[in-house]
Amino acid sequence: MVDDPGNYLRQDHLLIPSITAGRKVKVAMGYSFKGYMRSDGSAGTRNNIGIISSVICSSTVTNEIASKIDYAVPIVHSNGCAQLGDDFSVTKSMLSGVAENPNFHSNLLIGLGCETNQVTGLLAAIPNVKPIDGFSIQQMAGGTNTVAKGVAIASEWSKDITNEQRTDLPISKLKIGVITTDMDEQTLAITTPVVSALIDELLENDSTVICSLTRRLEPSGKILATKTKDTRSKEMLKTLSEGLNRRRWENDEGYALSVFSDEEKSLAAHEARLLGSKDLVELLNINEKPSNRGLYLLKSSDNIVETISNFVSVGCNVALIISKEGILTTSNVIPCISLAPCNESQIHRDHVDFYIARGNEEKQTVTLLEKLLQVSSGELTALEEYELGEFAIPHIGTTF
Amino acid sequence: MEVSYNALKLHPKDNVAVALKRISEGEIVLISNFESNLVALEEIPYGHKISLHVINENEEIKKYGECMGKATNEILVASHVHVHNVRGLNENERLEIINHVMEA
Amino acid sequence: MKTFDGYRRPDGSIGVRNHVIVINTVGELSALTRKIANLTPGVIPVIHHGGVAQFPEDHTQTLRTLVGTAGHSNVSATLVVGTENDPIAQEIYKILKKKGKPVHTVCLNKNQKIPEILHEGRSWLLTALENSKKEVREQCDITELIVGLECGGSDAWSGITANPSIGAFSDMIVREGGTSVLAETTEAIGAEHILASNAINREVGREFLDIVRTYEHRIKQTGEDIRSANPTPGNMAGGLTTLEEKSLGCIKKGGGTPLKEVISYAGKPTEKGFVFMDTPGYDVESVCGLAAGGAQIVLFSTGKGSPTGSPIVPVIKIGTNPKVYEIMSEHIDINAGKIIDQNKSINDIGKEIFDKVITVSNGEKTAAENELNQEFAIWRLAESI
Repeated sequence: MVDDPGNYLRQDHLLIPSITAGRKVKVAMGYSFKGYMRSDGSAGTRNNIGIISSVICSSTVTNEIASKIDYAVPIVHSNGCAQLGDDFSVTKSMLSGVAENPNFHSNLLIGLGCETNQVTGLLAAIPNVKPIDGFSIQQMAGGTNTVAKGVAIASEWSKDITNEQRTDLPISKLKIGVITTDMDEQTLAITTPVVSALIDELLENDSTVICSLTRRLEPSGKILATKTKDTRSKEMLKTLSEGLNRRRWENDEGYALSVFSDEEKSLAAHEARLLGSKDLVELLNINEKPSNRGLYLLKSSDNIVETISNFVSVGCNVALIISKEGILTTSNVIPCISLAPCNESQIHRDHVDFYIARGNEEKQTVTLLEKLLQVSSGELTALEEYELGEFAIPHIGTTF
Repeated sequence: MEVSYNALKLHPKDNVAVALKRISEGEIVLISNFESNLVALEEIPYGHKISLHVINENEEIKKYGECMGKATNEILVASHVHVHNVRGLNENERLEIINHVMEA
Repeated sequence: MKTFDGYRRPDGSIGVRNHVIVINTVGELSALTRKIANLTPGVIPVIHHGGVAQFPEDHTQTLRTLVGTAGHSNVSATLVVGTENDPIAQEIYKILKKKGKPVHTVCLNKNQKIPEILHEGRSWLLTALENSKKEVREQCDITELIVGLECGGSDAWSGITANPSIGAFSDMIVREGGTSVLAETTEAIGAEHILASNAINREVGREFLDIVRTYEHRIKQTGEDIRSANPTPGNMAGGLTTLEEKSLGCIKKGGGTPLKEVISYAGKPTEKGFVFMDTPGYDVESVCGLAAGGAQIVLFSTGKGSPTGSPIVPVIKIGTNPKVYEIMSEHIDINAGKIIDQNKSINDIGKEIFDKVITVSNGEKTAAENELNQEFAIWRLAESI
């Protein structure tokens, strides 16, 4: 076969997303979206099967099962063994949180057998509200048997999914993650009016909005503290504003602390305005689920794959990612709409879903809300079309 | 004729042997690298340890010719040697061994 | 003099495989990197999620691991996927160029369209694959071999059968002038005095005790006790009673020759002979460090049966007992359980391992290679920023 430069793309069913075409379509569904209702009251914007590896040792088998099943998404990562304390707790709760995510119709857990993060422990930790099963390679006497059994179970779920339909659901069923990365003053200046208005509108309509609290936003902790009545969150936010503080163990430093510069404080104060005008319910720790509706902050890092995955595990069913130039990875569980400011050169990047320009803010807010509802109703984001979804567990400690 | 051992002594200095198969209470224990046979006082699971002598409280348990812990009570000969009657070394005991080695 | 057939690289190092790989510098590019590999059958993806939001101790360790992996002697050519003006990509490129290794970086300009990026990467890889097929094996001296020594999913037999057999192999290869690298600092806690007293001199002994002490300190800083996690419940059910007992069994892999050197995670041995690398007991991260440090092959004893491998080095699995070899045969290469039920000696199995290392060096695939087990994970120290 002649190796025509475009050929392999077609072989891989890789389509160039028709973003412009999608955006011209006028949404007529108002403030509702079409999703999948789950028995615990949550709503999926996708309807997939999670094939979840409990430890890196079972990742190859997990990927193999997922590759053989329609609608299956492999959740593989580099953790699951030789972990202690909080680091292990985060791994376990991340994985049970991902299984609970409403975008999963069902979950199959695959372990090795001798790992710290036992499949039986995960099964006990995950609420029993949808189809779930799990076993280990050692229990099944090898990878071949494990793949065969996994495929047999998951293919039944796959058949069920084929018959399921989306139904009209109120916008209050959306839990929207708002993640910032690679930000600067100009990006904030252009995107803040539209994004903050959108967040206000979503909260007016009883949705839940969870915003990322990264090192960039931390210097504004004192400002953010005034937005919440929750005393624990107030204290945590004030402490975070005192200086960058993360767990590390080299050179007897224990917890590292370095003071924020004036530039960092100024950028943070600006980013704080992105959250809009509503009160903050609470600051959530890595992996902590919101207890109610409303506006939340979630502790996040600048490792974008870890952070997106964190939003998946706390139950978000859709996310907005705001950056200077768009990002090149997304979640393999929830759709993430990539937002960027209009660039001077007006180059249209095929990985950005929505450009925000200066001015005309009300109209852009409406269009962005429409885009959010469309994507929640099944329209693929650019990076979903390219199948560039990833998953990673936040690192908060070291392995042993 | 080949003798069918059901336990293995790993090092001449050892005071425990490893069960090569599950040994029942009262079963005769034929130990590779050990001069006499024993009668198991209790069940010894596959891969677990059996005492070759009486081991006094606080006496070192020797496997691979090295100290792997200390007896927490007196262990009779041909008993199951495990977490119920053995503890790991404490900080001071470890430091003592390390210092002894490094000064030699 | 014993020999094997390997690939001689421009920098003089010897590979036992001739892989073409694609590797990402930062987590954001992991999906794109995987995609490029999927579009180019025959190319191995080396994917990780680090490289960003890391403190210096993590950054240098990640960089050292990526450079060691990308420039490995088992690798014929490397495509690095990085961001625009990516310092990690530039560093890898510079070092590999200097070694004379075929290397190319796709440094992403976000104004490029994704199909353009995929096409650029794939085109270079196709040429690299073609070129790699022209390279031929030649006779090499066994003194060129560096073999990593690892265990995972240990049981009560590990210290009795497979690990001492690996120790016997280590003694053999060191006697032949080659190098063996023992890893897993955690698994030496409680038996460190034995390795320290076996060191070539007092300084090396002290260095070894230092890395063990640092490790224990790190564990204590997290508010945990290594004894609470070791032996694991699974270990105890299998008959392991104390941490000391487990560690005594683990270090059997090192054999009896003097400890020549202590190296950092993903560091390269500067001496031939028996060497220790500071790694966690987490087997995949440990194998990743051994490979990045230049080991061309890793020996891996397993009592419970683990399928894991490496994207760049063949991992030879040695089962510790007859049962694991029987039920997990698709994942295991050598049955050290024959010591229990077939009257084989530790030396017999050590010899079998030695022969296997030679045939695998010559190109025979291991179980993990057949099953496409290519797990990769870099040892992380601190929290992401």
